[in-house]
Amino acid sequence: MSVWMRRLVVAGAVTLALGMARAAEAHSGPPYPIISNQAIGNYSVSVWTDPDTTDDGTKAGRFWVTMYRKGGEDVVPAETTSALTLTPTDPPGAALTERSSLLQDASHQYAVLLLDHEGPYHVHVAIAGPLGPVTLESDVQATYDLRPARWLMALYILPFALAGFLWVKLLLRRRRS
Amino acid sequence: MTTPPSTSHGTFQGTDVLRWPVVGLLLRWRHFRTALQLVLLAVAVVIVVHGFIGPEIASANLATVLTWVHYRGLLVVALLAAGNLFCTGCPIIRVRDWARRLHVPTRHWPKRLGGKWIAIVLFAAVLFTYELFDLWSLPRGTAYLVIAYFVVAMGVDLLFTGASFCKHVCPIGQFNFLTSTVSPLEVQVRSADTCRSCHTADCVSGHRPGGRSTPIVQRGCELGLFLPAKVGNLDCTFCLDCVQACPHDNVALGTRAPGVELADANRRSAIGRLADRPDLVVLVLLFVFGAVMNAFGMITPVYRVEQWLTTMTGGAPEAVVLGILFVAVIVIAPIVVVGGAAVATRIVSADARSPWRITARYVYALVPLGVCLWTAHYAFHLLTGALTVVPVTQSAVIDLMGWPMFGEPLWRWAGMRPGKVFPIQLGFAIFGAVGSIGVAHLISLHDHPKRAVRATMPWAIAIAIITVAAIWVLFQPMEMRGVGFGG
Repeated sequence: MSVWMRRLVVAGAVTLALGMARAAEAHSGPPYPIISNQAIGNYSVSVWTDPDTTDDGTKAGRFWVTMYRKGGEDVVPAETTSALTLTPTDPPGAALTERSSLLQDASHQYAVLLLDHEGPYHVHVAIAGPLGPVTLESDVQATYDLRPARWLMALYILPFALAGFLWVKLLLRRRRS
Repeated sequence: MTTPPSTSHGTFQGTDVLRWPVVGLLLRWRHFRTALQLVLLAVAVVIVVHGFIGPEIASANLATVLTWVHYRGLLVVALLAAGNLFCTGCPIIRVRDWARRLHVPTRHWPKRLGGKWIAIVLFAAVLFTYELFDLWSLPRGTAYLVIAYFVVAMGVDLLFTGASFCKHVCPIGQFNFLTSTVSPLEVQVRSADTCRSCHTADCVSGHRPGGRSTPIVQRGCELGLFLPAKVGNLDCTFCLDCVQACPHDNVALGTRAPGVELADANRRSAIGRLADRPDLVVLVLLFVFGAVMNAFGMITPVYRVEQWLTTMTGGAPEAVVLGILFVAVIVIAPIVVVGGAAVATRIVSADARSPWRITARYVYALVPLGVCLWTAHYAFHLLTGALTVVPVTQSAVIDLMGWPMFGEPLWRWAGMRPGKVFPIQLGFAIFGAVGSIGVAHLISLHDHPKRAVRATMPWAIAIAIITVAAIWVLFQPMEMRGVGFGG
């Protein structure tokens, strides 16, 4: 590989990385259940969460509420609603409430809230509908998404770019006729 | 550890993994493949059983978690770290071999159905239905898919001889074949001189210890790869039948420069010249642009695009809207980007070949990028969900046994935080782009030795365009695999 070609590829890779880093936004995280198939009232309820903290005002604390009729997997009536209230517990803070929106049906609902700092939050889930009202309680630990700072991104991808150059070098050395 | 290599052309010159003390012994063990197949068969049974009896929540069901998070992630890891090990351990072939004891097929695969066209259609169909039905969120759908795979494979391979399903039908197989072109290991001849003096060709026809009139005791390559003329990993399932069949112990599982085969213009056994295979060209384009589409289909902005398309089409069904998106990404985009690069190469390098012939030669340079884009996508799900198999298995045991034999599910066990995985994804995209530019340049050095850089430039630009598009997709918030709340 010529020196000119090598420089071109290096410049391209770094430009790509830095240019793209500008658009960085928080990713969603791996969700996990904070309430799992809990039988309460006429419901069987699961709540999964991906509690990402942000400090730029982006709502990233995601909650999925799954409700079935108790004792089975029958969808709950379409009028069933759920709302989540999150209260920071350390340090204590004001409660945030968000009504869930429907996903594919009333049994699958989703809410996203702004978690503006890391730490423990108390989660209060209120379900209402023809099958009756119920409430559930749980706790969640909010964390940042942990994506590196933009300038660090270029540093992180440097080993990949270097490995790429070694690969190309190997290719050119062992090329077949 | 390795025998000194011969210096004759086409002879193995790297490290032979089969000669390694422990790994080599294991790989050469006659029942190694069967053992691996039985393990994966057990996993397939678990997927099907839990898919049907387990919870409908994808994140809590082994069918969806094992299939869409672990299987696919480990598949690309194995392909990049070693070779086509998941084809080696394919449980379908184990069941097929059992079934062939009861019914031996006699028909040959029809010539008019040759090539990869059926597999290409199925590959595209899998990508499309995966997006349309959100297969990753459907445990029962996933279980049905696994069963369907077994049934179709049985049907094909009990009707036709050899590995007809693997070679012509299996979409996962084609994915593995293409990805394995950048694997570090390859089944190779140890000494070309030994092959020249061989008159039985057991590696492809099977080993008959008593001569031609005696029955075969060890089959040769079911995909028709004649080792002395074999180039690279395309169509190689790493079954190692040739290792067992060769009476001269002349087969190596050797190291090589990953991806170098993509620039090889020579005729290769059972494949021919890559540039003469329009089906492979289309397969590569589907593989590369499908990687972008597959990730694109999982990000939040795609829903906005779908809504816009729905409005523009006057409320067309989702399948139609998704179909339009697919045509745009895996048909129109390749024609514009790759076709444009071919025309530009024709002009700047004064190449007399048609744009199609130039495309058919250079398109293989996109494979490293495609591999790395698939890896970036699958690595995200694998690394962020690697440990989910623990609580989901605990939960499955409770479903099956009725009591927490392995303890209560540790639902907080997930994996790396997505933010930490992001630089790895980005790194893979860059790595693949550099590798693709390298292969393109390798092709240029062969086809245009005096204008290699100029001939490479259009392809470097095409690769950069695809990479930028893919990186943009990676930057978007992604729906979580196996969560089942995608909506």
